[in-house]
This record gives sequence, structure tokens and C-alpha cells, in this order.
Amino acid sequence: MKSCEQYQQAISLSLDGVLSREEEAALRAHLEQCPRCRADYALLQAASAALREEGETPAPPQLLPQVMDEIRRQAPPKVIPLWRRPQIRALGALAACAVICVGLYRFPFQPDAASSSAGSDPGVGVVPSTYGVTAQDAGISPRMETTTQLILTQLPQEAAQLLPPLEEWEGDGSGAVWCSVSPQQLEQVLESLEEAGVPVDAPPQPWSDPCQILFQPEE
Amino acid sequence: MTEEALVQRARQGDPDAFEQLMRDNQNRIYTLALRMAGNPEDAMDLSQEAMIRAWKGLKDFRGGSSFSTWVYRLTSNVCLDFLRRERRRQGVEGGPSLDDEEAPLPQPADPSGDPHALLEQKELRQAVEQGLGELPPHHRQVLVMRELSGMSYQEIGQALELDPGTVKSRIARARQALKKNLLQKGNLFPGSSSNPANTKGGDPE
Repeated sequence: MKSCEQYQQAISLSLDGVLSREEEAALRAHLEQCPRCRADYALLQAASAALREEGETPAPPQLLPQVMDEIRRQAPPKVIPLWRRPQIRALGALAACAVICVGLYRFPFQPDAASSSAGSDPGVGVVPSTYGVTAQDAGISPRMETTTQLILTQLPQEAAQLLPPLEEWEGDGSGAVWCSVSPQQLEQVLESLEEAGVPVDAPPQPWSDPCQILFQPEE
Repeated sequence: MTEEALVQRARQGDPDAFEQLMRDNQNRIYTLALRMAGNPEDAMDLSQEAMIRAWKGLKDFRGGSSFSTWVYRLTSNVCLDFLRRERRRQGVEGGPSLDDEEAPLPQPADPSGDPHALLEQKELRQAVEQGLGELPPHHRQVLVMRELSGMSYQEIGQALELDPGTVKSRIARARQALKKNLLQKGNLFPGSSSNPANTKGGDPE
């Protein structure tokens, strides 16, 4: 049998409604027999009700403005540079991926042109029918028709000299690499290819800025 | 916007997000500060201090508990530190020790009024609020959280970093202390187990 002292905690837990049914029944049984505990319970119940009705005190209206003034005074808001913001970076990555798709859209397919290279070589600028790489095949999506692209299967030295070293080009692991060039650079590359005797069709105008050169060496 | 999203932004230095977080928590913060400090002026200072500390300490908030719980714990520490400083300023006699749950009760108020009048709702509430303010800080704090702010046992445990058993016993002991305090104020409930009128003699002046 509990003493009255031990029922004090039960009374407290009962006021918060966290007693089990058995514990509540045991407490009720005791209260029926014990006037002192009954009086304690009544007093604490009244006090609890009074406090709950009182509730929280609303913060004075000047509290928050004063705090924010102090905070803004101490530390001007950090402005994240545009290029570091995750949204811009995501767009940049998206644009880089999407460029691959664009050339496949814009670059016209050419019939097999006569070439000084080995017969089996379809030559620069020609996309063999077996080429058939779509953006999805290459694992790149979505398609975005924004960047002018020149797809090469051969890269003669004269043209390569106008461009960054191949090892610096971006790749997706499939063997295709690409780099960004200005429209002027693209023009120069096309001229160089023509001078090297490699037939190539310029992508249709208008060109984007920048453009992209995709080099997909033949196996 | 969710609390998590606001916290993320606030951690990156967005004051507007922080302001919204504080708007959601300011009443709870101010209520604790007011009941602990005992007056609105100090309550304002303590609330501001807590909020500014929250801003500066955002990088330390790891999301182990909810942000509200974290801010509340910060407020509680600010208030307890304040009371310790006040006690030191006033000297040993200043008031009950923070941790002393068996502190001697304050002198009983002059029960010149009709004892039964205390049972009137208004008088009861005044007596209860006064009694709350006279409790030792650790008792007072837990009743503020439970009764005024309506925090659950779990929330209280998280805010004060106490296990559930300790929360239960601390609330029970706080209520016992409040009960003793109220009974000192007059013959509220004759026959009650802690009614000192059963042992004291003579009418108070």
C-alpha cells in the first residue's frame, strides 16, 4: 500500500493525463479513502487549471524588431555570388549536357562523300547512318535546342591546333568529347577543315554563342 | 515554409528566414523569460539575448532536436545564468538556490482577506501566479513549460535534456512546492496534508 507521500507523484501524473488505467483506478481508490490527498488533488487541480487558463504571455511587439535591427546591424546579409548558387550551377550542368542533343537536332545528315581517307572511313562531317546516337543513347537528357554543334569523327591537326588540347575536353566516358567554342572559332575550324580537304557542312545559321564541337572518333 | 527549410536558409545567413523562426517562437521564449526574471524589462533583455545567441549559434545547430526545442533550451540557459548572477549580486540571502528544491518557504502572505475568497477564480489565479514566481527556478521553469506553454513531457525532456523519469518527478515535486506555497497563504483547504495551519498557532497580525 502506498503512503500519501507516494501518491503525490500519481496525483501529478493524473493531472497531466499520463497515468495508465490501472494506476488511475488505484489513485481514485485512495482518494476516496483519504481526505488529505483528496484536498491536495483539488488544490493542485485548481492551480493547474488557473495556470493553463493564463497561458503564455504574448511577446511585446518591439521585441522582434529590436532583435532584427541588432542582427542586421551586426551582420549584413550574405549574398551568395550568382555563379555559386545551386540553381545556376544546375542550369550550367544542364546546358552542358543538353548541348550534345542539340547538334543531333541541328546538324544535317550528309550522304557519304568522296574522301581521300581510307574507304572505310566515312570522313569528317559525315554522320554515318550507323552513327545513330541519340541523346538518350548517350545517356544525356533532356534535349535543348539552344547550342549550335559541329560533330566530327575526324580531327585533322590543322583544325586541332585551333582548339584546346583534346585531353581538356569534357567527356561522358563513351569516347565522345566536346568543347565550347566561340562562333568565330567554329568558323575558323570549318575553314581549316575545308583547307585540309575534309568536306564538312557548316551548321545552319543562326549560330549560338558559344557553339560546341563534339568529337566522336571512329573505332 | 517548413521549419527545416527556414532553418536551412537562416543558416546561410538569411535574416528574413530567421525572423520568421523567431516569430513562431517568441511567445514561448518571452513567457519563460518573464516568469523566470519576474519583470517585463529583464524579460525583454533576456529574450533578446536568447534570440541573438540563437542567430550566432545557428551553425552549431545540428538538427538533433527540433529548432524550437533548441532555441528554448538556449533561452532556459540564458534565464538560469541571469538568476545565478542576480543571486550572487544580492548575496547569499538573496533568494532560494537554483538547485535547492527543499528551500525554506517564503513568509506567508497576510491572509487578511476571507480565506474562502481565495477560492474565487481571480484571487486563486493571482495567488497561483505569485506562488509560481516564488518557487525555486528549476521548479518554476518546469511548471512554466508544462502549464503555461503546454509542452509535453517529451518536449520538456528534450528541452532540458532530462530523461522521462526525471521529468515526471521534477514536475511532481514542483507541484508539491507550489501546493505548500499556496497553503501558506491562508487556510485554503483545511485538512490538507501540507496545511501548516494544523501545526501553527495564533492569528497572523
